[in-house]
Amino acid sequence: MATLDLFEKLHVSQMASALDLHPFEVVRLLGQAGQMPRTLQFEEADIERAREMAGVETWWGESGPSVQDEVPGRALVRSAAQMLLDRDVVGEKTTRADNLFRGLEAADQFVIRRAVNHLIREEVLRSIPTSQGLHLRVDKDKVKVLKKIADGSSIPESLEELWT
Amino acid sequence: MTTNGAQTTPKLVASLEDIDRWRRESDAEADREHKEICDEQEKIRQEIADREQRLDALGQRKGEVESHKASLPNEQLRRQRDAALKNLAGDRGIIAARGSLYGDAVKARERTVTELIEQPEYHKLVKEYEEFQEVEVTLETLPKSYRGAIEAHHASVTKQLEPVFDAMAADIEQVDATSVAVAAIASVDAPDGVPEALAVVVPTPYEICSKWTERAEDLSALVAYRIVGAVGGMLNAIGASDAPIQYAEYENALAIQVWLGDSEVQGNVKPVLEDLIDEVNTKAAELEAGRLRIGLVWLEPEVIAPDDEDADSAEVN
Repeated sequence: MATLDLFEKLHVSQMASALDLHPFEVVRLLGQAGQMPRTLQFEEADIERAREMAGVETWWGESGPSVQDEVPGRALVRSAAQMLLDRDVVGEKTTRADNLFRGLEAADQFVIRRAVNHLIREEVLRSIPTSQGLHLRVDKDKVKVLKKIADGSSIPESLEELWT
Repeated sequence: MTTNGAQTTPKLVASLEDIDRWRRESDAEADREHKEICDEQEKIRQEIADREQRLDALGQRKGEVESHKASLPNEQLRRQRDAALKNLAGDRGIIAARGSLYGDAVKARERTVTELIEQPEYHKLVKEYEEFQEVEVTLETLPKSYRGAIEAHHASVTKQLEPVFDAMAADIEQVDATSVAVAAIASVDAPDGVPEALAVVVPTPYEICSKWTERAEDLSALVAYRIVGAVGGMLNAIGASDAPIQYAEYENALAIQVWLGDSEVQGNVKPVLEDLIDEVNTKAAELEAGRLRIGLVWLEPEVIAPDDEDADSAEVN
């Protein structure tokens, strides 16, 4: 880091990188909240404020999938299903779609993205466009389906192709 | 004929001669009049033919004029599109050129800060401040009392460096150039009814969106941020906060496409967005420094004819 950078406030792109968001998403939210500053520079504290505003959460820790499964892809998808259930993303409650894969390696993110799209097409998950980007939720009558994916007792064939 | 008063020729002869003369004269008169009539008829026929020819010509011209008039809306559209595209490219160039001047002004501010931190009273403090950044992550490993002392000293150093922070946060000096306005092209569909879609084409490179991690955050990027922020503010104001936005490339520029069809829009998109852009013009520090203004120019949707989009494609990308 150059010396001058130490004294400079954060740019929009730096804040976006810290939040794993696109800069446009950050400024859209700031604009919606009427919080576009005169100078587009920010303090460290603004990152947390923006994180909350954007509903950004990091579900995946360094320990990897919470569900044990001999097939790595299946472990990821089952863990993601379990995360939705654990966080009760059911009925009216929604979550950012990217919360489901934020923090994962690119290859693992790819698996989850494809799985989510399969589940949207099969109406297990419902996609909802919001100011924070695409959100997901589970309809109450689909909780059982998701539980079966999480415990591995019944995984849709469309998902099996992701790891076979 | 009479001789010495005597009648030598029967009167009938004279009468018949008179009749013959009358006949000749009448024939001549009739022929003359007939010829006159024929000439007049011919003249009129010719006139009629001329008029008919003129009528045909006029009819043909009328068709051409009608056809031309019918083509005017498309021609107007074509000319507006050409003007919009030409202007878009021109305004991109203006912002890039103004960005270069703005970049120089940013560097001038950095030089001021560099000169400041090279002064003896700040030089040592800056070095300490830099060193703290390197050891900050290890503080947790230190006993609480040591950590407290280091943090207190760091706070003191930071306080003493306030003039440096202030200099780095100072307004960028205005560029030495005349004020210039650029157009963001906006279009709402339907123009007069309930709005279903909004597009705003920003005269900045699309790469600001697609390659933001590789680009410097220059004046073009700041202009794009301001307009995206204004669109966000407008959506909030009309009760369409959750309206999906897509960013697309439009003639090498950035297009902001908003789907309003699934929102219950309360308010008028145009004046709200115009007010927010006016606010940007009066408040944004970088526009003030760059002596740049953004003008919102509304065009019919057909003029900018956004690429086909699938507003329902709500999948994770």
